[in-house]
Amino acid sequence: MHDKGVVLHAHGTKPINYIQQAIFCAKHIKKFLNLPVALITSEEHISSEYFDHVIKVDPSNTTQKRNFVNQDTSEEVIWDNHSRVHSYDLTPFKETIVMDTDLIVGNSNLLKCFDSKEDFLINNESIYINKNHRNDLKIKYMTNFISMYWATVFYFKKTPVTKNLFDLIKHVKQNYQFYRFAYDIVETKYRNDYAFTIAIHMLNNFEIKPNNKQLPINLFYVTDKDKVLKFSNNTWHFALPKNDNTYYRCNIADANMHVMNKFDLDRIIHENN
Amino acid sequence: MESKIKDIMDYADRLSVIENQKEILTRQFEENCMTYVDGHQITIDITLITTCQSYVDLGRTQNISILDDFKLPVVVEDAEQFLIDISDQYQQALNLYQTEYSKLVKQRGDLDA
Repeated sequence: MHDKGVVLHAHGTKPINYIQQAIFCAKHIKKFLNLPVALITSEEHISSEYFDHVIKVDPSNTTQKRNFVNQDTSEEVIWDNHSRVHSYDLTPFKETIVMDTDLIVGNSNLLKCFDSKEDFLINNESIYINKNHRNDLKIKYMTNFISMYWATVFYFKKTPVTKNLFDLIKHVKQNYQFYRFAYDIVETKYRNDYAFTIAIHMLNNFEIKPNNKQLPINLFYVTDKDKVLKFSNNTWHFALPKNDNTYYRCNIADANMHVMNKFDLDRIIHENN
Repeated sequence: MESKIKDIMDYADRLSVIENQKEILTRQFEENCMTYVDGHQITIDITLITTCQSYVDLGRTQNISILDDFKLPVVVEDAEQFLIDISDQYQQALNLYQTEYSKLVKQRGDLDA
């Protein structure tokens, strides 16, 4: 067993190719973190060239769909996010960073996780880089009073404490309709961010506490309404919408970037191959 | 008059780009200032550096207690070495911020320049 590594989950290749995303993501993990990468997938024939472990799971056969903006239209895409709650059981590592395949690592700061005494680290703040103009697209709270924990990227050690946390997250997932109503969540789709937030809230004895288990990174993100123009020399070039439907420019270099514009990310991956 | 107003609005747009970029650089600077001591997360700032410098100046070079980012106490065994380490990391982060900020000022809000 490797001591430390990164786990990615990827299911589905059309219309968004999550396996290509995972390969692009893994290349950046190798470059900046130099850690082994394990891919958890239900897809067949995955090349082991980019992954140190390929862990095959059964397809979830989910029919859950999510709307993503593609240029000026929107497209409904199957959204299979069900294996993430099994990260604890499936990881081949003693200490694991789990991340979305659309989180592109741009510096080595995530390595500092391994210096932490905590069993589990997760951010409950993410930074929307266009919040000054489109505060409506900024996501901060799960409900009116509970701030969201972001399952986009988290770190854990294999300990009894984290085993309990993952058992609780699985319980929330299995009884999601109940918890969705109990926590007044309008969105009907299962979302890991909500399941993690609810489980952490329960572990905090149903109290709202400040997050003292923050990752040592900022979680910058762009939404599918923001355009990705280019990615070169480890710099993201964006065009961000304002309220009057015009766009302004934004560049970010050397950052860990959560690119939620999946179609633009697909294009960037092809351009960089 | 209309063209003057347009110029002013263009200028306002560029200021808005600079402001957004500056916010991002500030957050990146803070991220680069994070370190861990005995498993505790600590964001290095001027207060921490001057506090450690004071202890070292007073001859308190062993086993000083400081607070982490979540107000939990942690013991630093070798204060002199710690002071060197955090000063170095802070300066590196600040130099990077300075370089990027200078570029930004030079570009005057035109990021493709």
